[in-house]
Amino acid sequence: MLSSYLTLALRNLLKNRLFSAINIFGLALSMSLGLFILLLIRDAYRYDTFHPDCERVYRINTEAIRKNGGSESYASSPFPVGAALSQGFSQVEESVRLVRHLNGETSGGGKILSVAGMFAEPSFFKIFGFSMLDGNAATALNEPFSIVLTEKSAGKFFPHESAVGKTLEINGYGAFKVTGVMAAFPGKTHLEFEVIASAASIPALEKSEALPKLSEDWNDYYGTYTYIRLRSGGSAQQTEAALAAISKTEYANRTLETRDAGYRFYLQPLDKITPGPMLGNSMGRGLPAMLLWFLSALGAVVMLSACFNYTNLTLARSLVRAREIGVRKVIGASRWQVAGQLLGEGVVTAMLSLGIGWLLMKLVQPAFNSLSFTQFMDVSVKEDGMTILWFVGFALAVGLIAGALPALAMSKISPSSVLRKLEGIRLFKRVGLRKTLLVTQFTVSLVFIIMVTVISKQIGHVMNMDYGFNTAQILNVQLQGQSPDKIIPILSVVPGVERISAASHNMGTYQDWSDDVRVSPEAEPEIVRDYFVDRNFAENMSLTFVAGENFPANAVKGRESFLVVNEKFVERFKLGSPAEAIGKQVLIGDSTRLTLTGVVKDFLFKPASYALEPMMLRNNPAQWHLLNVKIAAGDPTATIVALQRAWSQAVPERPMESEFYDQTIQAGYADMKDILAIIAVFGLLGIVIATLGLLGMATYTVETRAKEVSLRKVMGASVSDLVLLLSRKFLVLLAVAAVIAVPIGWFLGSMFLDQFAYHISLGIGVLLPGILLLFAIGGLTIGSQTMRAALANPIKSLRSE
Amino acid sequence: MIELKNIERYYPTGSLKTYVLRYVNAHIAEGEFVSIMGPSGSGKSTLLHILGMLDEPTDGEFWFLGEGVHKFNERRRTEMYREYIGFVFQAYHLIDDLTVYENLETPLLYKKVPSTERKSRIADLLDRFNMVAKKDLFPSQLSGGQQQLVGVARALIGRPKLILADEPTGNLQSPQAKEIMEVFKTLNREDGVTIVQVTHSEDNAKYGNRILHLKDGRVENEELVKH
Ligand SMILES: Nc1ncnc2c1ncn2[C@@H]1O[C@H](COP(=O)(O)OP(=O)(O)OP(=O)(O)O)[C@@H](O)[C@H]1O
Ligand SMILES: [Mg+2]
Repeated sequence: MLSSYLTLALRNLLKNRLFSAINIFGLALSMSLGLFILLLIRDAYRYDTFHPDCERVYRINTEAIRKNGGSESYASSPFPVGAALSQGFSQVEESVRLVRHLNGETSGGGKILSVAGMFAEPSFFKIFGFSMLDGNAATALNEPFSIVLTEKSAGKFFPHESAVGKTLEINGYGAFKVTGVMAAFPGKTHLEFEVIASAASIPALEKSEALPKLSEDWNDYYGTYTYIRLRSGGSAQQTEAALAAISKTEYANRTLETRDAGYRFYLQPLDKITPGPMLGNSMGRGLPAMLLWFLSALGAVVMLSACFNYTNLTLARSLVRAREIGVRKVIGASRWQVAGQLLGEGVVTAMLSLGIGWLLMKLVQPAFNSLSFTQFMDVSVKEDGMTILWFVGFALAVGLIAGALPALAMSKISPSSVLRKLEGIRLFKRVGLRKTLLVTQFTVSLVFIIMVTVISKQIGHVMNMDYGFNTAQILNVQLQGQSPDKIIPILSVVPGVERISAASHNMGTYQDWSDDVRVSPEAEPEIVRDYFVDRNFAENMSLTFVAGENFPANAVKGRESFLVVNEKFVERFKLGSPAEAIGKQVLIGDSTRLTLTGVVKDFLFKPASYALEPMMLRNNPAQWHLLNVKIAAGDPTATIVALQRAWSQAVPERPMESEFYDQTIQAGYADMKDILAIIAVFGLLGIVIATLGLLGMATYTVETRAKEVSLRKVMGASVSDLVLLLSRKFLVLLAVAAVIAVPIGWFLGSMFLDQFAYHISLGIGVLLPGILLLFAIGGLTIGSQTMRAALANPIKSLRSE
Repeated sequence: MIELKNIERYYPTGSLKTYVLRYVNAHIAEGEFVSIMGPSGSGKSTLLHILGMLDEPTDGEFWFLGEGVHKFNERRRTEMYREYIGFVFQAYHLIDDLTVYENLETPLLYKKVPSTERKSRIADLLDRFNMVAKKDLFPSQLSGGQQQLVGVARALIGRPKLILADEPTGNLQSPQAKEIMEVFKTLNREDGVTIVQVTHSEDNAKYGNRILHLKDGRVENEELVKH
């Protein structure tokens, strides 16, 4: 039976080439993306599956409840929480704390490389499924200043010798003895480290101020990750209750961080971390679950649209097949056997599409890899036996979905259809359904077009937006730990350099520094963003002073004592007019008291998604990390080369790291460009598929009405009369699609734009191009078919009857 | 085998009922070969469709093998087609996309006949109708007479007890028509298959043992054929 369904399905496909081509091509196009998303999903779910008793391991996360009523969740937790839980609660079998503040220039084996790692307690190797290539996992992390390397980092420092027993000197932390080298990880993990140092080193490092004092600090919920394994039979719920009790007692009499009202600790299963919800301080470069959902949703929409084509075209042709189905029933086919055959045809079509879609996917993959987020992410799609099963299962599902409606509807055809003349019968009042599917496809397409327009216009807007500070001709040079006193004089004599200023971090990016600010000791502190800069900064960035002046020239020498703010700051802290604000005292944190020397005109110092807020420019050289080098107009290449030469003379061990300010700011919108690229691809597919469907329907309509068209022509109808006659219904459908899509696009578009404090306005100018495009594409498609019919020689189709 | 009691079939035309069949009573025993004759529009096809359960009487009773057909649901009707009833159509109604062999195989597939038996049954029939050489051709590659032979073979392949044929030779030249009629006769005589056919031809009708004359939807008279 199956093989007979198969041959029949294949013959059917061959017989109706146009319809088959439309179906297979559309399905293959959308499948190529679908398959790729499947690979991504499979890859995303391969994280952290190799740890022993993985299902009993959890991470303690912190939900910080803000005073303003909101809350934010962090992957990290205060250092003391782990110990407090283990002491008072018997269900914890094992726990480990990872402290993240280990990174710096590291020398060892005659090399200097920058290294990032964590401190961990010895139980690290009991909880996680890492094994040692060299060294003893049970003791490697026992002693202070021991360090364990990954196979990769051991290879970097000690390529030709055993690393164990050697010493690594980490700048700012001291010397660590290598006690082990880990074997290559057995699978993907969200944990990110190149080295693991013993947690026993922490007390000494806290004393030497290499680490903040976090081991006693219940308020620092940023620096530590706590993982626990419960005893078998342990309850996550009871553990969370125990954590709630701890939170209640510990925070009862403590002053919390300014913005916080309290903390809730909760457990996140180890194998649910990646993919998982977005968390502050999260480790791991797996695709966030949100993105997977977003891709899957878009993929499903496009996939369904391709299924609709199959459904639509098959239903449209049901008239032609009514007699065959009648015959089958009369010779003994049950309804389900007929339905099975029709479903089989859908599945065969889907399987053929799978083959082509798989090839197309191979073409899509490089494009995906070039998206900017994949550069950061750990995505390594692999195809193995399992994926082939997934693919086939996927195609099977697609075939069944596509074939379901036709199978249900057409298997109802009564055996007596065998008796009737074909033209005489109106089989289905299903025209409504077909129209609905077509309208849905075009609605989706138009929504895609609108979103693409909105996002690309917004990207253009933020790219060309005037932030109010100068970034032109500014090359940012990273200090890389070098003293600005040493570097600035060397670089400023390079020909072509106009001016150099120093700063802590870049404006116009997502980098954030902030401090608690009060204008009187009794007031509640407020958090204000700040930048640590030098005297040249204001001029370099073309900031204008509305009152007061820059830091005094000799200010750098002593301790930090001056402050420049923006107008918003003056407003927020009610300091009167800008001129009145000059000379006022501002308290920062607990101990720093600064005098306001100048007020600059408001400008946008954050990306377009941020509203304008108070800001401070502070004057503390200890915090400078980069130099803004203003280069004379003209070709900067020669100047950059000269700068690099000057740098490498002063700092031979490391190359200069620099980037133009404009590029830095634009890089902040890379996510948006990715989203645009993704939506554009899906949108394009959606349109192609919908257009194919429309082409099929138009062709079908024209074919079935060929005789009527001929008769009308013989009776004297003009070509344009006929084109209009045949096209009218389709044009109405397009119009309906537009009417539905515009509000949806409007809604989604405003939702997107609401993310930005500075955004384009959603008007006719944004919506109209999409609508026109839709009608142009649709009109051409319909027109091509109807014109053909209208121009055909009427005798032909009349005679063939 | 077949018992018709006061069968009525009308079509509503506006508020009026147009009767196509009225007061039709008939009894057809197993092993009979009955021909239905009558002028065009007299309701022959309608009657045959009712017998074939493709149409339902608006009134009256139809008993088939002792069961009331009005109680049949779709599944029971499918069973009838699989086990008891074979159709032969004037327009052949072979499945265009299937070869001769596959056309014959399809009813067996629906009946879930095992593959070896399928092969032997099809081989038998092809042999009997001298169609072995044509088994891989598609219907469009056959003459009308050959197509109708396949149509008859397909009706027979499920070994039905009753064959219903509506003008099976209506589209054929007389030599071909004769061939089909001979097949029917043999089937009836040797295999005991009950046959009901509609025909316009006196000659064809004479192959049967009884003729029902229909006029204006009523059985006008019955005639026994003397051989
Ligand atoms: N769907 C219908 N609606 C109304 N009247 C119908 C319908 N189908 C058939 N009839 C009428 O029923 C009558 C009998 O039709 P039927 O096909 O049974 O005649 P017939 O004896 O087979 O004629 P012929 O020899 O031409 O095949 C005809 O008058 C026909 O017009
Ligand atoms: Mg008739």
